[in-house]
Amino acid sequence: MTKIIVAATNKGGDGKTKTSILLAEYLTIIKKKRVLAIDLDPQCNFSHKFLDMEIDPVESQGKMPPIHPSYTEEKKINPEWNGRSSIADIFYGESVLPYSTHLNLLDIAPGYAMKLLEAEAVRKSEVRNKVHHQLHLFISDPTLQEAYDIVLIDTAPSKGPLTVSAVKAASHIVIPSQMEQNSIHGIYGMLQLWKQEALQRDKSYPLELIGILPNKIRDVNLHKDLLNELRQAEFIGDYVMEDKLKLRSIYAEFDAEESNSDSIFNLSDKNVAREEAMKVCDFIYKKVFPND
Amino acid sequence: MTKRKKFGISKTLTNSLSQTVKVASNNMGVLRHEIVPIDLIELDPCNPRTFLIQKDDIISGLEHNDYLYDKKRREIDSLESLKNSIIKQGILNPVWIYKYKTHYRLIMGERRVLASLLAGNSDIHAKVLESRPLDTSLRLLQWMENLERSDLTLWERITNINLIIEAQQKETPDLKVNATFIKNLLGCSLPHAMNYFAVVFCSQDLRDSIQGGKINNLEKAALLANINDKDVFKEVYTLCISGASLKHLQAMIRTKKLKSHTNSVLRGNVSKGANFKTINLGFCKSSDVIKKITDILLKDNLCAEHANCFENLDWRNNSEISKAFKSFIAKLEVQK
Repeated sequence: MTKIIVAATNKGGDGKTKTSILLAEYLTIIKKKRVLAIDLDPQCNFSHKFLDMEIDPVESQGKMPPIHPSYTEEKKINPEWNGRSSIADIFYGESVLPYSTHLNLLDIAPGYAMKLLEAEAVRKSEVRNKVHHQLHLFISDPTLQEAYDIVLIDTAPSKGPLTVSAVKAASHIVIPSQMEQNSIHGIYGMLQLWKQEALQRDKSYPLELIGILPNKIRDVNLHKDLLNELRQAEFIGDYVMEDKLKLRSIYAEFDAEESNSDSIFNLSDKNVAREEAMKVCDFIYKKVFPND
Repeated sequence: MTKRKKFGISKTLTNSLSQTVKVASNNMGVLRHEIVPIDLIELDPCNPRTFLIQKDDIISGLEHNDYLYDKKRREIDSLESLKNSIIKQGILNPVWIYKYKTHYRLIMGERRVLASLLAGNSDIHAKVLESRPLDTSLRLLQWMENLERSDLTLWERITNINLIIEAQQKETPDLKVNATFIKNLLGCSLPHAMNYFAVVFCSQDLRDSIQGGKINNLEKAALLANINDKDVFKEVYTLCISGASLKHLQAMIRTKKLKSHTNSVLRGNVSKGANFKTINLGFCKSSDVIKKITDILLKDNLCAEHANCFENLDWRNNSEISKAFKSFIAKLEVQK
């Protein structure tokens, strides 16, 4: 059964996209798994890492997927299709055609800012309930299950309908967090969402909390003290990951336009950033595939 | 030298984080609720509460040539108020179901399922369990559910208790079933549990009468179950099924017992209480009387041998007199 890993927290800038990117690269480059990346964040940074996203002329700040390579062929079957496919289409009753990426085993169902923002803004309870379950239905499709070993979902910094839909579809959840007061409040918000879903979930398909991933850690008292305190706290301490990601400029360098075809996992084995990312990803991998 | 700054997470936040993780980890799946098509729910054939009407009777309507038509009609009528409440407010408590092959089987909520169909609903709010609960839990759940119902017959109640006991005995073969066990099991008072205990293990004749609906009152059934005398049983039973009140039956049994006691006294074979193993010689307030008795006794040769028990005795001290007499009797018993 395809594993569905979600990086989520309702605080922005805590490392959801970074974790998703690292995992997408690790799982395809190191573990040779077939991965589908899904971007539910209207900022579309996860999509932009693997796809040349375009600026939406209608939504000035928004991004939209490029014309799909199969557009010409597909148009013959579906003449009404505009050639852009995004994960947001599932909320509009349309099918999704994932894009290939420069990584052989990685496909992506990118975000589409305008459409995702619309789905996120849904308030009417019946429609919201549909949004909540739509992603689960999409991922449960046998064709998709057949095609991918893992689905990775990046979420928006919120607890809105899109994040709820990701949590409802997930088999595993990882909560990246900085060791700062507001971020730790964000952990609480996300744990509430996890609890709500875990209590309702069929026991044969549990929602497992992989853990809290300490991110952007610096060698300062604030980070050390908060991390120690969180690790020592009852129950929650067991879920704070032993490995952490330090604050490094290398991640931003990889995000630069010129570098988008490279990966931290293609660096030398001795590179400290690679080593650190490997440890974190190894830990997550073992949690998701304990028998591998 | 500057002092090192110390940072921490507030106690409230730490506690909230810990509690959230604890609650979630300990209760995975317990709130699994779904809206399930009623088509996929099968009523539990082993539930001791047996409605005559089935889902099909409501979906397709009752057939006039059905020999149970009148009874089924009454059952449908009894669901009317629940049906109206469902139309107005929906199901207040979800029914409980578990996965059974390709569909679901009902644990609790037979009336709600049937009334929902009557209300025209095709699906129902349900708590879904992954598998069939253990026999004991299942029967206890059904018992609790059934207790809510005023129309539950005595036979249905004792069948339910029997099923719970059987399930418990399967799990614990050495289980001792008594009234206290039933009290703990059902959470009822001991007298009530004693009544259940008597009826659950009553004679076949009485069971048949309960099953046939001739006796539907627990206290009356327990009263009959506790009668050992066949003739008395027959008389009280006849009175019971002719509609006599519990008080009337109790009065009759008291009369019968009194009569039987009087007969025994007249026959001279009455014997009350346990047999004494020792003889109480009674109490006496006057030491003079005791001294008189002692003097008489000591005139007897056998008793005289133990006269030393009373030597130098202070006949004004009751305690000393008692001790001396005890010692005297003890020596006589040894001598014997």
